[in-house]
Amino acid sequence: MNLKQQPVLALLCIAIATVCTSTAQAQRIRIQEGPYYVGEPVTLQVVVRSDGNDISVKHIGKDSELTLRGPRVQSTSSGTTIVNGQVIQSETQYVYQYSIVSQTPGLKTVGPFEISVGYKKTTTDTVEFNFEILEDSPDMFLNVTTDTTRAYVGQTIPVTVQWGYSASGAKVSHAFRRLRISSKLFDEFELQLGDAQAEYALVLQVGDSAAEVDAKITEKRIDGKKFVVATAGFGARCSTSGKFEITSRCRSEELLARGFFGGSQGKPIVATGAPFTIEVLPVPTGGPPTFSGAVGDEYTIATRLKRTQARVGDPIQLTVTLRGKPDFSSLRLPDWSTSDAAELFQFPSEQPTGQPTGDGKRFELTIRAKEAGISSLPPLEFTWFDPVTESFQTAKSKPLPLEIAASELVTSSSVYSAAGPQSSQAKQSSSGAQDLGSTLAANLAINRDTAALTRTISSLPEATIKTLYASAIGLVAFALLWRSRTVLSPSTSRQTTSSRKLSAQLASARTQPPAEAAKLVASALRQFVQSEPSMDDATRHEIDSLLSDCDAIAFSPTPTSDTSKLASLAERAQQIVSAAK
Amino acid sequence: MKQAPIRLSVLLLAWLVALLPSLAGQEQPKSLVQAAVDSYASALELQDRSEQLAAFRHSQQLFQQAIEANTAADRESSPELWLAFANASLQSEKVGWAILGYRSALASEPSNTQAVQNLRFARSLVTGWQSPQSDGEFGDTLFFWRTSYSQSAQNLFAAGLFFAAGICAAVAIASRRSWILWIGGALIAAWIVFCIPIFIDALEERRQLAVIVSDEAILRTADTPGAPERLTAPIPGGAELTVLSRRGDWVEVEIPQGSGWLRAHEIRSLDAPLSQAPSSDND
Repeated sequence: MNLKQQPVLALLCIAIATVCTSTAQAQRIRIQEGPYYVGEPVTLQVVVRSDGNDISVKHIGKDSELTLRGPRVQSTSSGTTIVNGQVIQSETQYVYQYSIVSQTPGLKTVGPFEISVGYKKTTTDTVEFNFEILEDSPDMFLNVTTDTTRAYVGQTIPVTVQWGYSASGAKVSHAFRRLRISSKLFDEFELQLGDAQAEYALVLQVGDSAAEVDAKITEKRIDGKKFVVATAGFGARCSTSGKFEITSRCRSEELLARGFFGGSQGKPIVATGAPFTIEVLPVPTGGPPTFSGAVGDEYTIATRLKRTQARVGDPIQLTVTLRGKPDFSSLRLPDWSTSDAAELFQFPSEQPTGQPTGDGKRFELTIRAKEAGISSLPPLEFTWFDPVTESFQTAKSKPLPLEIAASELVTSSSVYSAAGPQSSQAKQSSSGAQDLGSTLAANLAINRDTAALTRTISSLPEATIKTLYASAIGLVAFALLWRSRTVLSPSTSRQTTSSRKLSAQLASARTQPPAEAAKLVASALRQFVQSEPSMDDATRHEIDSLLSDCDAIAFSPTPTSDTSKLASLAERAQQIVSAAK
Repeated sequence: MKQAPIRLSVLLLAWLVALLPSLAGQEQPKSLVQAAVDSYASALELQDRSEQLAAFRHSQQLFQQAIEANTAADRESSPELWLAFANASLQSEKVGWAILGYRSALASEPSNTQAVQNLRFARSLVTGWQSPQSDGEFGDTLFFWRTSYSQSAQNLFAAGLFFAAGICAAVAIASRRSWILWIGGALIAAWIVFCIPIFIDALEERRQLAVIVSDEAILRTADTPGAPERLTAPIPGGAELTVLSRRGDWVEVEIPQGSGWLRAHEIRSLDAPLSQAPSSDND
């Protein structure tokens, strides 16, 4: 080999190795550590990584003795990062988790799995499991029992689950925490477990999920061995008819050793409950119309009305409360549309859903009286099937006082309240309706005056309001501006004030006798001359001429009564003052 | 120079008058209203309850169309029309719509005793839900006009007070007469007192009150149909709630236990009673 080719080959090898490694890491299978036991689920995970391509995982192996459940898919991905302006998309890891159960012992093969990532398809290797038979532990027992082997559809039967374990305290605690109880009863019946609130709870395997039920812990001695026993009781409702072979099994873990740092080592243990059969029968047909499917015992019905007076057609709120044993959560109201009460009252066509209360179920419905003169709500009936006596039983509510008056409020002549062609009658009717309304707390009269009804409130206020505010602010702003202008120029202000005074003086001169008036005009002109030092010559000469004329009149030895000349002098003086302003 | 303030005042007043919209009523959907009234009257004459319900329902729809026509024309419907709509809703067993109508009538005319009375009755039909209590009696007594006049009238009166105060201030500034300024100050004080309930009402409006208009509504913990139910029982129609936010076809509402999500078509807001919640994000 040429020496120059060696680095190239080395790089090629590294590249191939890198690709192989990445391919190997792109998909892998993780399995639960053994040993594996018959009937016990084993977890297998197919882990696939993808950078955004579509993924599918399919089991293409065939083994009829294995039950493969799943997959349950989980994905985890890291976020996108931007490095030096380049967007780097991180990979997403998908975990396809399968649950494998073998019904027979021996070596079993799972796989291969076909994995598609985008257009690329790969096939994994097969995985082998050696399943062993796990015998029931002599130190653990399970009892799942009911108090009856015959029931009816809809009936709730009491179920008791009892689990016991004979070991030291630490081992019992370890086993109790890892206990899972499965039974066909849990899968075929509707369990009524309630919320687990006690310190200890048994874990039931219901379908693919777990449910907890309160348990009571006691000690019991059986065949000389001391057992710690956990007992739980709950109801199971039969939903379908048929014969059910009930088998039960529980699985836990026996503590073998406790690790120094808190870990533990254990081995699985199982116990099988005694099988039994329950026969669920359909409820006999031919029950009364007030039968709504309730099966049980000691049902009662109670009714309550929100009002004791009403008129024909008024909505009346009726509250119905059903109580019974052992179950009330699935209770429904019967169809009362064919009952005796339905001849007097109209019941809603749709059934209310009802609200569970502490010891029963409450329904709110609206009824309406059909005719006047009714004095009470007749008893309402509720029928159920009693599985003990195997017969239909009926409970009745107590009659409730309820006075139904004629529907005066709901006649055309009494509902109009506005003026119009029948205004007088209408007003009378309106007041009547008002009084009636105050009694019944509603006045359903309407105004029939189309003009009043179609009257609209225009958008006047909004525009007007804005205008008023803007105008007020504008006025104040203008006043401030105007005042500031006068304040900023004192000489102008003084001049204006002086001119105003002179004008007033000249105006008053017209009412005075000629001599006094001439003095006033002359005085005003002299003040004007003092206030206007930069007066032009023409005006000055004219003022001098006016002053001499005024003085001639004021100091004339023969007082004159001719006011025409003085008026022209005052007029001329006023013009000079105004022109200067 | 002397005539300038007077001229400007005249100009401002002319501007004010020019901005005033016409007080005359505009053409209304009278035929719709007449048909609704006729339908209501015929419903009252019927003996069969089912037929009566259908007729009341028809009347309610016609009243609703008339109100929608006013809204489309940017006109506010009269309290009488809202009251008629609400009564038709109550007669057709739509308690939620009835409460919405009564509250809208009271928004236009707070002193409408029939609307107050019927609203109280309609609320009594909403079982299993606590109706909102009326505002504090002390506040209503102190600001007595709050329950007598509509908010528009209160706003207009407040603006009038402010305008009068502005005129007084302008005259006082121009004439330098202090006693006019004192009158303006008194008017401003009155304006401030009048504005307090308006301010309180504006704060309450921001809460976006709404009413359940469907027969009942399931409150969910999230804005998806598959989300768990927030309450053990559905919220009854007519329940009055506060809207917190809107997202798509869902509305988040406040309840005593926290909050939850309702379908938008099940609820109507009091500020836009007949229009459905917007489908776009509006948080």
